[in-house]
Amino acid sequence: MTMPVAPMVIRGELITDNLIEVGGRGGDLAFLTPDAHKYVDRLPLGNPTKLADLYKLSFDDILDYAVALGQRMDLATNTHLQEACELSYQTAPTTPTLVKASYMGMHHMLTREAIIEAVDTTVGIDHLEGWVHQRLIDGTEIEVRCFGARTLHIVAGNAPGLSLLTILRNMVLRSDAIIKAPSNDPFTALAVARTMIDMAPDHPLTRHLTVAYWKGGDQALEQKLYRPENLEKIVAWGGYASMKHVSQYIQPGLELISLDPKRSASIIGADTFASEATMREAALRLACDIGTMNQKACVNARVIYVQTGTDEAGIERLNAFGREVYDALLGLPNSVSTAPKHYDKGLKAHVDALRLDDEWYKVIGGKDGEGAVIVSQIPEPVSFSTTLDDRTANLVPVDSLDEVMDAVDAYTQTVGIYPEALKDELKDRLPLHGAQRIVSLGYAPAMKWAAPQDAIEPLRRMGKWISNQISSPEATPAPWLRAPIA
Amino acid sequence: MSPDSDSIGRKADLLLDDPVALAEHRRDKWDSLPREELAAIQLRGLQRRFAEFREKIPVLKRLADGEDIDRIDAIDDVVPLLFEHTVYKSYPPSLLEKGQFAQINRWIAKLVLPEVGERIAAVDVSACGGLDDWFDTMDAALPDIRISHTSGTSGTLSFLPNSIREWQKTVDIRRLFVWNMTGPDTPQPDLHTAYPYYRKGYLSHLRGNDFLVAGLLPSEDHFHPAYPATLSTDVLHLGARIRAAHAKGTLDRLDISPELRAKKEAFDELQAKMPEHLAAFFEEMVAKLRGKRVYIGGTWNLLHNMAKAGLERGLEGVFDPESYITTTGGAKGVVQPDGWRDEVLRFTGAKQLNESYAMSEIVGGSHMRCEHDHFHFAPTVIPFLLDPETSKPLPREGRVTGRAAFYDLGSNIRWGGFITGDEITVEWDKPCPCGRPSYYVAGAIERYSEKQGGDDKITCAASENSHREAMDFLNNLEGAAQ
Repeated sequence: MTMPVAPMVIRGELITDNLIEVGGRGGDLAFLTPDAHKYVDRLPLGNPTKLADLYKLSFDDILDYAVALGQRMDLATNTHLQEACELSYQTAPTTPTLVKASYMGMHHMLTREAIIEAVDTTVGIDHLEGWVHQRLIDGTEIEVRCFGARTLHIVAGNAPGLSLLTILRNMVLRSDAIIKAPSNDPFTALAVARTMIDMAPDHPLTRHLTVAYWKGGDQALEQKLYRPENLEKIVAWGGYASMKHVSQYIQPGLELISLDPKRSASIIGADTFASEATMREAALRLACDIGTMNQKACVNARVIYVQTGTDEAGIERLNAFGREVYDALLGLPNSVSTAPKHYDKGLKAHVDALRLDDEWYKVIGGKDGEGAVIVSQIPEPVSFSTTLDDRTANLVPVDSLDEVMDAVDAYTQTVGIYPEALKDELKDRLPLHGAQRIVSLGYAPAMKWAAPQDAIEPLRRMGKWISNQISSPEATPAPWLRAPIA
Repeated sequence: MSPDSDSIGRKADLLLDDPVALAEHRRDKWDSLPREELAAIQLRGLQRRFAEFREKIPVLKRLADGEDIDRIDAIDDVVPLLFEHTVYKSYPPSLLEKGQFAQINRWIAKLVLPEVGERIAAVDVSACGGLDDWFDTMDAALPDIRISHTSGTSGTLSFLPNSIREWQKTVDIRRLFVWNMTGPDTPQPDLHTAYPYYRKGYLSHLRGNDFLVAGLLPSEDHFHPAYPATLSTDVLHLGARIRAAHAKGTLDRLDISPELRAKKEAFDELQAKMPEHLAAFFEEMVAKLRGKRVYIGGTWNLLHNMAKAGLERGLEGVFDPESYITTTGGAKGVVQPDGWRDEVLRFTGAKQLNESYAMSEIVGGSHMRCEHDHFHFAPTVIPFLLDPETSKPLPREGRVTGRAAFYDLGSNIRWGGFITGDEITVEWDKPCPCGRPSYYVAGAIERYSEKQGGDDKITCAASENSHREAMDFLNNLEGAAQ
């Protein structure tokens, strides 16, 4: 078998020379890629004035480009996507049907209306198109514009759509992006970049995207690249190790936008159990929050606090609910969730150990590595709750909503809530404990890039916000006319 | 039953109940038990243990019922019944935080024979103010049982219930080597121990000290610890909880009792006095132990740190060359500094260093390294190699790499089957040039946890790995733990 090749793309140029073998650790796919050390001088844009070509484009031009790209992001016809999709079966943490479903859905991100909505909500298109004018009460006139930046993106590899989102964010901001591909998804960003080259090789948007792979933490390379003269911003997703590597290069002039690794939880209120129908609906919605993308994302529910009460009747209700959730999990369509690729060994050891004793925890399923629902019989999550993965959830019974505040901490991102009315009681309290995104149960995986992410507005942060202040002694008191202190 | 079968049965009973008698209390015989016969004895021993425990130990019964296993015909039949390390920490962590020791006892009771379990569950622990107190109460109430703990980096303590007899049998075997025994009447040497750590504690490797004193030394005053105090498990546990809460950003939610705060302060005071204790330790060594024959056992880094500190003080060749210096595990997946062995030998003056592959969960045997750098399996422990993906047994022939698992035949109140996190390579066919007939580990011992995955697999989901770095507190504190 010939080893697959992940070429490098530097601003419209496809590079396939100086190949070295990378990856292949612990049974991972080994592949060939140009030795980034040989190209490190060419990876950065260099002089920031080279961003000027992007300012000859109107936002409408950018939309036209994105929509045209969207039309080419068709898995049925795009050979770059087909090849990347196929190879990603081996590198992705998820299974082939899930990878394929992601690839099939990517073009949805590139519709005109969706982009306009997201950009206008988060940055404001007028701030990207030109100077936005305002008169302050002291008479000063200011105008503000959001400029692009030279940015390095260390993207997460657990969902292919994240690579396209990064490219799209770069385009609308008129920035220059270097994408450092992750080893669990070295092919997706590259396939998009190659599609862009095929479509419009000399277009400024094509010529401001670079995609390369090197082993994260390669000091010799990163020391040369991660410098204020090369980059203004580094956007780093997840990965404690990668974040640590990166943080050592952060200095004045080089900003880190960190999208930290996160976990998500759910809260199921007492009213859920008012009827069989609502209980079933909650179980199905919860299964979706647990199982989508096989629980590989930050948005997936892991520990679920359920207000069944902790008396005998409450625990019985919770066990019955747990069985419903388990059945719903197994019934999810294969475009949403499947049996995991490899059930985590360490986690299996924990789950199997709990199975030997029912007193504190009841384990539903999990014998065949298909996923499991662990129902705590006490108001306490399992000791290994931070390692829940591969469609394994822990239901925890509580008596009162005060106890559910334990569900959130500094690592919490999304909290899915059911029924909807319960949110009113919780939405002003949860954020103080750490929650960053509150969502109707069942919609946790449906992350909207028109909304803030990880309690920041990444798109705003990724731009450079420049002001022009217009003042005159006639309109605004002038500093030099101030009276001296006696 | 053939006479031959009878003889295997008798030998199996000896291996389980009084292993050194099987080798007539002779070191050379222990090292040369014939391979095929030992395998037959071990299988018989395993069958006896299975018959004793299958219906009686609750967690084993649950597992065996689930796997539908009622008999052991071949060695590999037991593989589905080997315990993961998680079995020893499957209790809710809040039980410790809230001091609910009666519940902990009820949980431990399910890991052992019912007659032992009933006694464990019956101990009055209602007045126990903490873990140290609880361990002492259990020791006093159950003179034939010693519960120890290991330190997981995850912050959850594993509890291991062992019988005193298990420890004694292990020290009996250690004595064969340390005294270089040639028979039951080998005279007792005037042996001392210089121990570069705490005298007492409830961590499994500190638990062994009492048995080493009783089994190897003429008296307690021959044991010279660097720190005469007890290493508090309450403080270790608190440290783990603080680190875990710190990593989660929930430090403000941590509830620490005034008693525990006082213990932590006492511990800090002790820490501050460490240099004085260490100075006194080396002074005592020079004054009382120079030229004496000693037994020193510890993890490699503990021994190496002692040697470095000694050499820095200008001490070399301190003990009798016949001294027995041994490592007790701790070398897994760690890059050892060049020359550490030489430094240990230079400081101690011992002729050789006896390295072993061992783990807290397997009390019944250490696998000793021979002059060809092979770890030879102890006769009291049956080795298995498992497929790291499927946990199915790998063939017991040729040279095979896999996940190490063991059955500890010495274990007489709990099930002795245990799956490690270690990757080892076993040579099942070719005998070792050292002449020992036993199977052996060839090559390095690695931890699967340290081999997994590239660090540039980036995901937005926070996993335990993200936090692990922040959780090394326990290990640092111990200095010695694996």
